Formats: sequence, C-alpha cells, structure tokens
Amino acid sequence: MWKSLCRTSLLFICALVLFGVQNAVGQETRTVIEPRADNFIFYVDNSGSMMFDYRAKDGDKMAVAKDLLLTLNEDLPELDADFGVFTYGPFGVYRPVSPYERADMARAFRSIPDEFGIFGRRTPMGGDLVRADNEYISGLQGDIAVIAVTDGESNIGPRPGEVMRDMYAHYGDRICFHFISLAQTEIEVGLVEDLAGINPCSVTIQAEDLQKDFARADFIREVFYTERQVVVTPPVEPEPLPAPRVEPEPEPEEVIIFSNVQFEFDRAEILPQYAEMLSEAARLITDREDPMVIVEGHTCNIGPADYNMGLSERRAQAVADFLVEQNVDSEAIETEAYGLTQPRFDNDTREGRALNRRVELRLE
Amino acid sequence: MCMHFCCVGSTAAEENSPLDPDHYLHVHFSDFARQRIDLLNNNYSGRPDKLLLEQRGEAYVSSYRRADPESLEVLVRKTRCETSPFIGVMRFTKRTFESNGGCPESAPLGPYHVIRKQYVTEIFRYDQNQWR
Repeated sequence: MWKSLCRTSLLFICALVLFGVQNAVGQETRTVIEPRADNFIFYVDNSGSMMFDYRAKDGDKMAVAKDLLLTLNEDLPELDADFGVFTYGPFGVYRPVSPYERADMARAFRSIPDEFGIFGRRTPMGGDLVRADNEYISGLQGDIAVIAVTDGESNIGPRPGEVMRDMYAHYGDRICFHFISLAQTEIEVGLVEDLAGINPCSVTIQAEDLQKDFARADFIREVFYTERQVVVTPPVEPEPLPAPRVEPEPEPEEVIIFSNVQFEFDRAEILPQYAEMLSEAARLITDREDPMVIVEGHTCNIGPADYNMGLSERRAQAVADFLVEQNVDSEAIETEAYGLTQPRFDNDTREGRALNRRVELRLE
Repeated sequence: MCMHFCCVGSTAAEENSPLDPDHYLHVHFSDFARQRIDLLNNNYSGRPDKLLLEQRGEAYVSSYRRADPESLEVLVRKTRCETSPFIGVMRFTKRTFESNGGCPESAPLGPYHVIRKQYVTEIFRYDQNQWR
C-alpha cells in the first residue's frame, strides 16, 4: 500500500513539475534593452599628441578615434538615454547632453577638429574634466557613464586620476569612467590602466580592437546596455469608453506627416538621406488635381517658445523649398509655424516629444 | 538645394516600382507599420487611458485621438538611391473624438462623437535593415 501511495505521490509531483515547466515554456517572452546609465558622455582627447601616428592603424590618432566613434555610433541601439560629446585639450562641447539621435551624434563626432598643430596644444585631461564636471556633469540627473577616448597622455593641470577619484567619491555608484585607449608607450598604457583600475566598473578597450565587430559588440553591451527577458502579459484593458455616437463623419482631411525627417542640430537644412521620402511626398501632391499644400512646422516643448517658433518656421520653409524643387507649384504652397503650441502627442514622454517634432503637409 | 547626389544607376522602370506584397521587405514594413500605429495610439496627447480635458467657454470638452489599425494600407517602393534603396509608405485613418459636459466630471462620460477625420500618410526609408 505504501509503495502504491509513494508511486501515486511521485506521479502527482511529476505532473505538477511538468505542468509548471509547460506553463513556463508556453509563456511568450521578449528581449528588453535597457541603457546602463541615464547619461553617456564621450570625453575625447583633442590635444596635440593626438596628431601623432597610431602605429596599429594607418593615420593619426585623431583620425582613427573619429572613425572608430562613427562606427561605434552606427552600432549603438536606439537607447532611451541622453548623450553628450565633449573634448579636452582644448575643452569643447560638440553635443550638449541631450536625447540620443544617431544622426546628430554622427554630426558631433565629425565636427571634432582633426587637423591642428601639435606644439603648444597641451593635454589637460584632469583640468578639463573638472570643468566638464562643474559646468555640465554636476547638473545631470541619474547615472552617468563617461567614455574617455585617450592616448594616455596628460601633461598639464590636475592629474586625471585624482580628479576621477574625487568624482567617484562625490557621485558614488552613479558614475563610471570607461576608456577607449590609443595608448602606445609603456607610460601611456600605464596611465590608462591606472585610471581604469580606480573602479572595477570600468571597461577598457584598445582602439584597434574596437574595429573588430565582435569586440565592439561586447564593448557596447558592457558599457551601454543590458538585455533581459520579460514575460509578455496581455495588457489590462482600461474601462471601455462609451461607444461613439453613430452619425455621419466629418469630411476627411489629407495630411502627410514627417516626424522622422531629422535636421542638423539647431539648423533647418534637410539632410540628404531624407530626399527620397520628401520626393515621394512631392509625387503624392503633384498627382492631385489642383493641389494646395500647407506646410506646418511643429516642435516639442523643450526650449524657449520663441526659439521653437523660429525653428519650426525655418524647417517648414526648408520643406516648402524642397517641394518647389520637386515641381510643386510654389503658388500652391503656404507655410505655417506653430512651434510648441500644437502638440499632438504627450510631451511627458521621450517618444511623445520625438513625435511632436514633426512637419505636417496638409493637403486641401 | 540639389538632392540628386545619392542616386545612381537604376533604370526608370526599376525606380519607383512598388514591391509585390509577398516580398519580404513588404512584409517587414507591414509589421513595422502596425507597430507604428500602436506607438502613435500610445502617445497621442489625448487617448482613451489619458483623456484630454479642456474648458471652452462655460463647457468642458473631453477628447481623444485614435489611429485605426483596420484602415492601415502600406506600400514599399524601390528608389534610385543607394543610401535609402527603399521607401515605405503607410496610410491610415485617424479620428478625433470629443464629448461635452457642464463640468470636468461629466465631460469624460460621453457620448463621444467624431469631430475630425484624417487620412494620414507617413513615409519611411529603409536604411541598415531598419525602417527609419
């Protein structure tokens, strides 16, 4: 009897386990990418020493560094985090810390000077880091990752190691320094190793390794984002609204919306890669009989109202000019600028603000 | 403003020709477009789970917008440009619904009626295996 009871119990337990496994296996999961920090700051050496050759690759260190940063930028996933681009030796801000936009990051990297004299251009890695901290980093919310692009030189001002130790003491777990190293001599390599050794959170990669796809992918994963599997649960449906009244609907309007045409930061010229999209819009317009188009410029709510109004006006005009070049009758086009006054999307979210930065072509 | 610098090589017949609906890129863009509809519906400033409430004179107006996924139409077209070899065009119907009331509590209760209907076209380019 006991044997029979044990056997039955064992079968019951096995059934429970199998049910649990089946249930877990049957659940749908998806991969969620989350940024490792709220703010990522590239801190790039722009001093005279960067004009020396980088032995492992053809070209000087500055050209190699820029090339690698552009490649890395192309591989970054679209992260919900803020990114900035600063240089030292001399100190420069090529992109204020702001939401990630791939094209704008590429513009910032390309803007870093790569032809300059060597002599008299010292390397104040520590001193400019103090300035970056005082003027920009200290005002940031959330976690901060600083990616230093360095050849291991620092020859004026406070020592970078001391500055970084002070920043670790001040920010605690909120900050981590990572390194893309173009160091070549024993002293240069030693400095980078010393800086990376201050905190075990640091990730370091040698520049020539960053060119290798798998090494770059690993570096990006270790510095920029984590992945986790989440179980997809059906969304809880909100209380249904009363069904709309059944009655004749208003006459429909036609509108073409671009919330994905990006402009150079703070500029209104249309970037070349969007030409085909706008040409398609021009085709849709010219296919209509007697088309009338109102080109509306809109922005999100970041920045002063009058600045946004001017920016939306310039962008609407840029699109209108393009349409004229694509044989849309200039007499048939009007432009209107709304700045931040007519949001269609929720300005409380990053996605909503991105959608509000749009140009609408209303066809009449 | 010259915009022809990215265009090379194809014949007039090849350029601008829409892809067959069975083409993998058309299927890929259809998936993207459906997700885009979800993104829009989750981010309208007035939506069923976050109604927009405004006062107009002495009345209160509750409103929301909704892109209709059932109305979605898509088309993928080959271009002449190497950097953006394909463009995707999606078209859908967006409606704005409003309900009036004498106070902020009564306005959201409905009934709602359609006060605006738009046929919306959005255009995307295919770049590095993504629709942008």
